[in-house]
Amino acid sequence: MNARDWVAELQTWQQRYAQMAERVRAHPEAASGVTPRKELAHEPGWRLYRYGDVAGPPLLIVFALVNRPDVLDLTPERSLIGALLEHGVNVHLIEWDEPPRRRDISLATYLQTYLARCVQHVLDANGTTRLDLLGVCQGGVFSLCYTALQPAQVRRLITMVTPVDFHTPDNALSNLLANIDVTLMADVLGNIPGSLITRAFLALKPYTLVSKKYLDAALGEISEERLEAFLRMERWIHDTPDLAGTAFREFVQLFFHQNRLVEGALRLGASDVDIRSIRQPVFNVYATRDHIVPPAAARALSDLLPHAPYAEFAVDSGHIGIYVSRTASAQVPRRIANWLAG
Amino acid sequence: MNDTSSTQFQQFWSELLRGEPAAHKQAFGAFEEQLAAFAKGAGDAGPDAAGTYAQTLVQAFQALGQSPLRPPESSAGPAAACVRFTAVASALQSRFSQANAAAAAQVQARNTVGAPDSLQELFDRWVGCYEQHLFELLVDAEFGAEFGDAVNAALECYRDTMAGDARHAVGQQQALAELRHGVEALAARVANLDARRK
Repeated sequence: MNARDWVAELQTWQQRYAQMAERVRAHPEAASGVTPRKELAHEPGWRLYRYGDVAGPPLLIVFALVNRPDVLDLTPERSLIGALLEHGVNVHLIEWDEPPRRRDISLATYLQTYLARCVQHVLDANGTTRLDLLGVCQGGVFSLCYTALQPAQVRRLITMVTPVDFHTPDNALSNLLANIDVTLMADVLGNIPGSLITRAFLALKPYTLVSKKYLDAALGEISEERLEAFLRMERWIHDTPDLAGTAFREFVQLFFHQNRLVEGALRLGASDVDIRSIRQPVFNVYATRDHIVPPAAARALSDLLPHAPYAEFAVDSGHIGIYVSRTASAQVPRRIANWLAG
Repeated sequence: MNDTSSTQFQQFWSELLRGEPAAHKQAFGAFEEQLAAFAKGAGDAGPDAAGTYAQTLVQAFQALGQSPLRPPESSAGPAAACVRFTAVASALQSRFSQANAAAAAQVQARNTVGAPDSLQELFDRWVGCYEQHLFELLVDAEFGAEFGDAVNAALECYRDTMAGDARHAVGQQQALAELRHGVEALAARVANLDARRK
């Protein structure tokens, strides 16, 4: 390749960038959520939704406090929720509210008040005494803890890209948080700004998640459908709610610093939490190229459930691709639905 | 401290982290300028100068991949935490520079074995090498300790600055500017949330 070819390619880059910028400017604002749903209940701190009107054991999806669950229902072609419905799963979802200014929302409040209330609403609405939980990322940690605390209410448990062992040597996020004084951080900041969290995640792979992503999009001659999905994803990435300061501090200390799921002696509010007591069947779905929750961090769960029938499913994707990539979209909902029906 | 203060810190922190879209757009703008200079130079030099310009491009990538951390402007205040932050951030900067240089050397070595077929391939090589070295840095325990120290110092510095401990008028003015910026950002965020709810 000679210099003139490089110049020609560079000119192509510049043209494509300009074209992409023009298309993005002309594109209507990306929406969020595609699958019809109805609100079952809401209280300060959360909203509870039901999708479709499928009968059968209810499934409650518990998303992380970080980011919003919109990514589970991004477009008709890339919707974990829509696909679960198509496979006959009775889907419910919690949306956490933006935390108010007061900082005293603790993990115990999220689990033992907010999540407990949502579970009760789902049980009442479905006229049943047990439901299935699907915990996503941090929501998986919540779901494990909740199952240990309220075993009578949970029939089956699915964890998805859920960190369990926070001290695996390949956990960059854990290493970065290891020496941060989160008490000081919560004292100084109050609630933790969502955009700060977004930047921290992007900084883990600054090219792949920023410059190269935009370049690839510009050069890829993407269709209108893919542009819509791209912009919806962009909106999701940069629309991160603030995190309640107290819950953030507790989560980092208990899990990132003290690794309590593995080390034991986890206490939330007035309750001891021991996930080793879980006896419900557990299905652990993780991503093989996850740079936020390394596979080893997720797979550690298998050693901590001596009494639970355990199965796991590895998806060839990254942390976000597991919800939206074509490969994952074709595999994950079907595997989850089959496991729930098994 | 309330949410508005959080937003102020967000502005403050944006001086630290260069992972934010705006910063990357700026960085990419500079990168594009370098590419444009490259294009002009390559065009002037004729078709046989690609090797030389590949070297220039790698330097451009290197510049684009500079440290995601740098000292905040407002760390110039008198508080001990700010001085400490500046020192630790400088050490972090040095570590990022080392990772950057290692990535550049790796790309050059690959280019020697086999020249890239395209600009995009060269860019992909750079991304792969840089992020691998970055990852090795991010999981290094010593780096984690330094990073934590820097964040803690930045938090103390910010707290002291916002508490009025900083005596420098520049710091005060900057705090006011950050406050105004923060309020505007907050208003935009509220408007956005309202729009979403509608």
